Amino acid sequence: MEKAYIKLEQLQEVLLNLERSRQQEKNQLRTAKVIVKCLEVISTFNNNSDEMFLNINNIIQEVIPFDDVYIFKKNKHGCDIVYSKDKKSFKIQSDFLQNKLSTPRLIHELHDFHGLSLLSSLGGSSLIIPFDINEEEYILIYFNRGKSAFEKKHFKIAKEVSSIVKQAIVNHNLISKLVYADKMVSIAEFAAGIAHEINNPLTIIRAKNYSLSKKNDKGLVTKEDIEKCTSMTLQTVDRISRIINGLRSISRQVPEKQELESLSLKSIFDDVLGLCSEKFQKAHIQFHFNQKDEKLETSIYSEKIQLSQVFLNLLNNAFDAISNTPSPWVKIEIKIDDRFCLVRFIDSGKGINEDEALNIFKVFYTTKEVGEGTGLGLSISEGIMRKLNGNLRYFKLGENTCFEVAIPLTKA
Amino acid sequence: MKFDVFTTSLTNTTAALKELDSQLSCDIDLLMIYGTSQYDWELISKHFQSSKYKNTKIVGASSCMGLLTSFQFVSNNDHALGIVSIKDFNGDIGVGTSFHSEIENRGKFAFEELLKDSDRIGECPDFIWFLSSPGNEERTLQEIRSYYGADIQIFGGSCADNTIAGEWKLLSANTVVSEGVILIGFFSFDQNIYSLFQNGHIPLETKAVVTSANKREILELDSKPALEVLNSWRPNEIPFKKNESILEATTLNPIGRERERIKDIPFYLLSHPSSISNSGGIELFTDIQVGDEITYMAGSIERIQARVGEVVYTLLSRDEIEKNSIAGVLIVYCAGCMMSVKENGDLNQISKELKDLLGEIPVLGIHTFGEQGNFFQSSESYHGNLMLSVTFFMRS
Repeated sequence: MEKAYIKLEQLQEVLLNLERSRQQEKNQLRTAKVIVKCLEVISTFNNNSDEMFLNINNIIQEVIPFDDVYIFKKNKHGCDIVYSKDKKSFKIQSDFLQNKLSTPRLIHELHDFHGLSLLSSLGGSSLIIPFDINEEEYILIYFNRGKSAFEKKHFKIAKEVSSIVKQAIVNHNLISKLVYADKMVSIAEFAAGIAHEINNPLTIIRAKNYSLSKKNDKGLVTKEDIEKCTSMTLQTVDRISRIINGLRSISRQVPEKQELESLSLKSIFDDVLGLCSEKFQKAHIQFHFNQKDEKLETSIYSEKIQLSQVFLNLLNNAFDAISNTPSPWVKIEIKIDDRFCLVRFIDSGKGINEDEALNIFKVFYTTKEVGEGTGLGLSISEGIMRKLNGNLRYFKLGENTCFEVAIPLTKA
Repeated sequence: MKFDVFTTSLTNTTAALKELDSQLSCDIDLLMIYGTSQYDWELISKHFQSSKYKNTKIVGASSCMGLLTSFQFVSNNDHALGIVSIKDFNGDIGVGTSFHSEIENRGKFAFEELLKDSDRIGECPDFIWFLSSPGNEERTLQEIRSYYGADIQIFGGSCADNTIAGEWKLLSANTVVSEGVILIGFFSFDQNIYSLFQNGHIPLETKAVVTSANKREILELDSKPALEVLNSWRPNEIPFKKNESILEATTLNPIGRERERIKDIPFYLLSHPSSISNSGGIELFTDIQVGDEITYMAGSIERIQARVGEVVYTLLSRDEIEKNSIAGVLIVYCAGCMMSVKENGDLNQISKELKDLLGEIPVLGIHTFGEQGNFFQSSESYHGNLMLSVTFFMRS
C-alpha cells in the first residue's frame, strides 16, 4: 500500500514537472514568436522610427499588458525622451536615474514610487528596464494605469524583449545616419553647380572692380560708375549668401525629435533651387517653374530640412534621367486641395513601366547605372513624407515621368 | 553572493557566541540567527549590536531542540545555535518588523517597514523570508499579499521552543520578543532564489466538511461533534478524549486541505491537531474555516524522514539547477516531524542524504511550529503544519 502511494506520488511529481515544462515552453514559444515578429518589423527598412516603434510595441503588447511605453536616453544632466507612444513626456528626477533606475524594476504602485513625476501622480504600475548601447545608457519604461497590473512573468518577458527594443534603437540610429548620408550624396551631386554658382558672380565682381580701378588710374571714374559697380557687387554678394545659406540649411543634421511647423513653400524652393538651378542650366535642361506663383505662399505644415531633402532627391533623379536626352526639361507644378499642397515634379523622361513602378520605393532599388545611385533616395524620400504626415507617389501623367509630393496644409 | 552557515552546540551563550563570532567576517549584508530557546537571547541581541555589525541587518528566531545541517543534527542537550551569513548580495535586502501586541496590521506594518528599509517603496520583494511567533500567521500573510495585490513568494517558519511553553523568541537589530513578525525582503533582478513547499504525507479516502469552527478549533465535522468524527476515522486506536493532548498521536495522521490543483494533481496543506478541547473540539496550529473540506492524511517515520532529501532532489531536478551555482540552502522542517524522527528514526540520516545531494553547499535547517510557503510561483502563500520547505539561494 505504502509503496503504491510512493509510486503514485512520484508519478504526480513527474506529471507536475511535465505540466510545468509544457507551460514554460508555451510561454517561451509565445515570447519567441513576438521576438520574431518584432525582428521582421526591424529588418524591414523603414526610416520612420515612430512607425517602427509603434509596430514593435503593438506586437509586444500581445505579451505585456501596457498602456504606454517610454524610451529614455541618459545624458549628463538627466535624460532625453527617445520614444513615447502617447507623445507625452515626463521628467525623471536625476537622483532616481542614478540610484533607482540602474537595475530592472517591477513597480506595483507608482503612487509610492516618487521620482517619475508624471507617472507617480497618475499611479498604476510600471516595468523599468535599463540597457546599454555602445556605452550609452537607455531606460525602457512600460506603464499600466492599474495597480499591480504587471506580474513577474511580464517582468521576465520585458527583460527578454528589451533586446528587441535595443535592436530597434540601433536600427533607428543607423537609418538616421543612412538618411543623412543619402542627403549629402544628393548635395554632392550639385556641388559642382554650386561652385560654379559662386565662382561666376565672384569673377563678375572681380572684373567690374578691375575695370573701375583702371578707369580710376586714368581719372575717368564717374559717380554713376561707382553706383553701378557697388549696386552690382551688393546684389551678387546677396545671391552668393542665399546659396550658402540654402546649402547650410539643407545639409544640417535633423534633430532626433524634429517639430513640424507652419512654413511657406517658397522658403523651401528658395533653398533647393539655389543649389540646383545652375546645374540644370549648365546641362541645358529647361526649367519650368513659376517663381511668382501665388500658391508658393501657401502655408504648409512640415519640416524644412527633410522636405528640402525630398525635393532635392526628386530633382536629382530627374536630372540623372534626362540630362543626356534630346530637349530635356523639368516642370514643377503646384496644386492645392482641401488638405494637401500637391507638388508635382515632371520631367521629359518616358515614364516608368509598371514593373519598375512596383519597386521604385523599395530600398536599394535603382534604375541608374552601377555606381551612380545609392538606391536609397526614393525609399528615404517616401519614408520622410510618411513621417511628415504626407505622401510621395509615382503619378502616371501622360507619357512623361511625374512624382507627386503631398504636403499637409496648415490647419486654419 | 556568499552564503555561510556556522553552528555550535556549546550550551553557554557567551561561549557559543564567541565560537560563532570568530568565524564571521565584516561587511555582512544579513545575519540570520537561529537557535534553541534556552540561550540568553538578550545577550545574543546585545552581542550583535557591536560596531562590527553596524552595517549588517540582524534577525533571528528560536528553533525546536536543535538545527539541521548536512553534517549532523546539531543538538547538545537540546541546545544549538546557528548563523546564516549573507554577503555581497546583488540587490537590496530589507527587514521589517512588527512587534505590536495588536494582531491587526502586523503584516502591513512589517511590510511597509521592509520597503522603507530597502528603499524600495512601490515595489514587491522577489522573495520574503518570514519569521513569526505562532498564532496568527494566516492574517499576517494575507496582509502582506493584499498590500499590493501582487504574487509574492513568502517562505519561512514560526519560531519554536522545546516544550510548547511559549518561550519562543524573535530577534531583530535591538529587540528580543515572543510576539510579532519579522520579514526579510530580497530584491534582485539576477539573484535567483528557488523554493519548494511540500509535505511528506499522503491523502486517504476519509474526508469531511467543517460545519462549525472557531479560528483554530474544529467544533463540528459534517454537522457531528468533531471528536466523534475524528475517532471514527481511527477505529482500531484508543479513542481521543476531551482535554487530551493529541499532538504526538496525530503527527503521522494530521488533517489536510486541498489548496491548489494543477491538472489532476492536488496539493495538500496540513494542519496538526494539538489537543481535544474541553468542549470536544479539535484544536489545531492553523486557522480553519467553516466549509473547508478536510482529508485524513497518513504518513510514516520513513516517509517524513526521507522527504527532506526527496524535496531537495525534486527542486534540483525541477529547475535543472547546477549544484555549483547554489550559494546556500535553508530548510524549514516542522518540529513535529523532527521530534517523531528523533524518537523513532534517525535525524542524522537526513543530514547524510543532504550531504550526498548537496556536497559542501552550506545548509541550515530549522524546526518550527508552523511553516509558510507557496506550492508554486503563482499560488498563494500558505501557513501549514508538518510541512517542509527547501530554499536555494543562488550565487547569481
